Amino acid sequence: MSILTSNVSGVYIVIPNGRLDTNTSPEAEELITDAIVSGETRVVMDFSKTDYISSAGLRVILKTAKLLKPMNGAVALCNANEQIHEVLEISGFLSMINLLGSLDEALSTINA
Amino acid sequence: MSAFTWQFLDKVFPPFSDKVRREKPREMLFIVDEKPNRSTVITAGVQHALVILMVIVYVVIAGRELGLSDAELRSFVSLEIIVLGAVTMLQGFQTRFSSGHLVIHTPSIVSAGTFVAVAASFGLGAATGGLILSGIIVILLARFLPRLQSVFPPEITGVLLVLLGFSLVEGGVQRFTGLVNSEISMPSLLVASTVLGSIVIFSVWGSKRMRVFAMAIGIVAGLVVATLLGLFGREQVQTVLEQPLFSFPFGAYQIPTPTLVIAAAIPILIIEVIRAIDSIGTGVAIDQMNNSKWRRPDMPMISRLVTCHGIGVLLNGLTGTLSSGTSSVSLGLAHATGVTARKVAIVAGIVLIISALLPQVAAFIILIPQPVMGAIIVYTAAYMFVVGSQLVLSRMINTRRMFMIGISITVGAAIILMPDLTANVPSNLKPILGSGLTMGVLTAILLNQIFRIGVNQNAEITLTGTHASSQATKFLEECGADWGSRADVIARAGVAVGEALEALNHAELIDGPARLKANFDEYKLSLSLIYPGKSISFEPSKKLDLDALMNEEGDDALDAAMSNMSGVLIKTLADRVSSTEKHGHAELKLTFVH
Repeated sequence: MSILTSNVSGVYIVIPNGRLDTNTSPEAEELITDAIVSGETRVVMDFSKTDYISSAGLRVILKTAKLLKPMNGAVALCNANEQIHEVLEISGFLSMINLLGSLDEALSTINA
Repeated sequence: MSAFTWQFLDKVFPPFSDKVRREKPREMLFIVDEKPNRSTVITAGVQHALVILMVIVYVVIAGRELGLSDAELRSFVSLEIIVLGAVTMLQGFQTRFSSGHLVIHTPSIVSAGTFVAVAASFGLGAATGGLILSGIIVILLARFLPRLQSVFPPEITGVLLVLLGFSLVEGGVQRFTGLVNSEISMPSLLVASTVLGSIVIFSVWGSKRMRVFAMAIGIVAGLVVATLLGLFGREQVQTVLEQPLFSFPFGAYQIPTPTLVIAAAIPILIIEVIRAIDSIGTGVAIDQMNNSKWRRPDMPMISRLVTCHGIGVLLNGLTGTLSSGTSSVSLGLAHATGVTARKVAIVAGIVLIISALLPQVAAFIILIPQPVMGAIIVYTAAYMFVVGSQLVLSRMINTRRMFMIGISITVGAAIILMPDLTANVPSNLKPILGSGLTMGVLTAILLNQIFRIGVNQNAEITLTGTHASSQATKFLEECGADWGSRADVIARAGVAVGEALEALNHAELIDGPARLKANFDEYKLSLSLIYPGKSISFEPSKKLDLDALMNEEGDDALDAAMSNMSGVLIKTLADRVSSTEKHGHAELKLTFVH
């Protein structure tokens, strides 16, 4: 799995490619943790290139939120396909974390 | 009636029941069992009746072909409208003989051709005898339809609806444009564009209340423009005023004595059986319109709908009128108004029966300009294309299904677009071989059965290595394409199996490669994950407490929460989950309703 990252207007964007599961989530968690330790406080996870997310992937999202909480930071999600949307809905994440339709919307929300 | 008679009746015609859990689609205002206010029901009912009265012109044409006098024709047309009204009303009631849905009956253009041809060759009595026999056979066939679901999967219905759209194009566009000898009539185009434009504007941008009136507004706007352009006016009004105020439609037309002539009955029977299959499409479309969570046709409802269709054909035979069937044009109207409440069918039926007793109404409707009718048919064709395509693509596509769908639509479209292809077929076979709709659907049914040969409904794979989860997903996608499963069910199964593998590995319950067995029928997808090791038991679901997790030191609480989450996901994604263990091997069974 390759994970693309970028920084737009002070927001750290993570784009997991393919599956975000038990095999790939350690890499994603490490990248995000390093970025937060380096001072990033706003993170967007863009699922436009992600096919599948498991509970291990959900753990990465929660861990990100947990790391950002003491820093008054924020995390937002965007571009989830139908399956990822269903997993986020079943897990109850949608009532806790913003899921937006596009990256632009996610950036506007997190910068608001 | 005796207990035995009731038992027999219950077996042949099961009592009405409606166990479907519906979720109202966003674009609909009132679905099947909702109770719109009286004005909405009456407005929608009158609109449906008007649409049916507009196609009564085909009955007039057929009556002329049969050589009926003006008085006989008026009686013939009115009897037809009474049968249509009675059967439409019956469809709206919740009985063992009717759908309990907004299903409107209309005279059939295809059947009209067959009826006239048979009557010309064998006499009117032989034609009505054929209709009576066909009605009885369709009624008896209706109860077997649920068992024939694999013969009529949704993609075949999709092909049927797409071809229905195609079959409406020529008549619709001809009336829309007033095309004669390659010349387009600008007045026709203006009138039809006004009707279609008004329907689109009020359906898309109108308020909820306006949408109910969209079709009526379109017709009125079209009539205004037609009057301004001289297509409708004093001459038509004079013709209407010459009609008597009230009359019973009996007497003038002598109902023929039915006779059974096998050679006459066969073509009528074939057409009527195929038209009963058409009714499945209507049933599916109205079922879908009522439920945004639609998964598969409600076959008991469709059986009752077809029973009612058969009753209609039987009544047509007994009254010596043209065969009727369910109206696809009315589906477009139901969508445009956003109202599919069954009470509308009852009102439409009553309006039709009353109008049959008022000759001026029928005369006025028959005189409505053709471009107005063309615009309504064009709107319906457009709707059929979209609904049909959605159904065709609701199942996963592989090479077999691609050919089945593509070839059948091509066959149907070729016959519709190239009438010369069937110009020389014998007249007895013309109603079948010359109908693109019939031939396209028969091709789809035949190819579907041929392509089922050699497709094993059981499959198995051994999952190895660290990428077992993605291996399972790929395997399920391939099986789904072979079986023509719904894409969303396969995707859900893939996520559940992936999650199960993660949970087993995380809990260290699996000691070696797992085997994934899959079995599919039209109703369910059953998966078995068999592995060396211990069975897994999922803890009761706990509500995720984000605040508590955020404040916990370390990641232990996070890990525990996510471990519980695996069970939550698997139990929610699958419709049934069970786990067993025997002789060092465990089996996790997941069932998904299809």
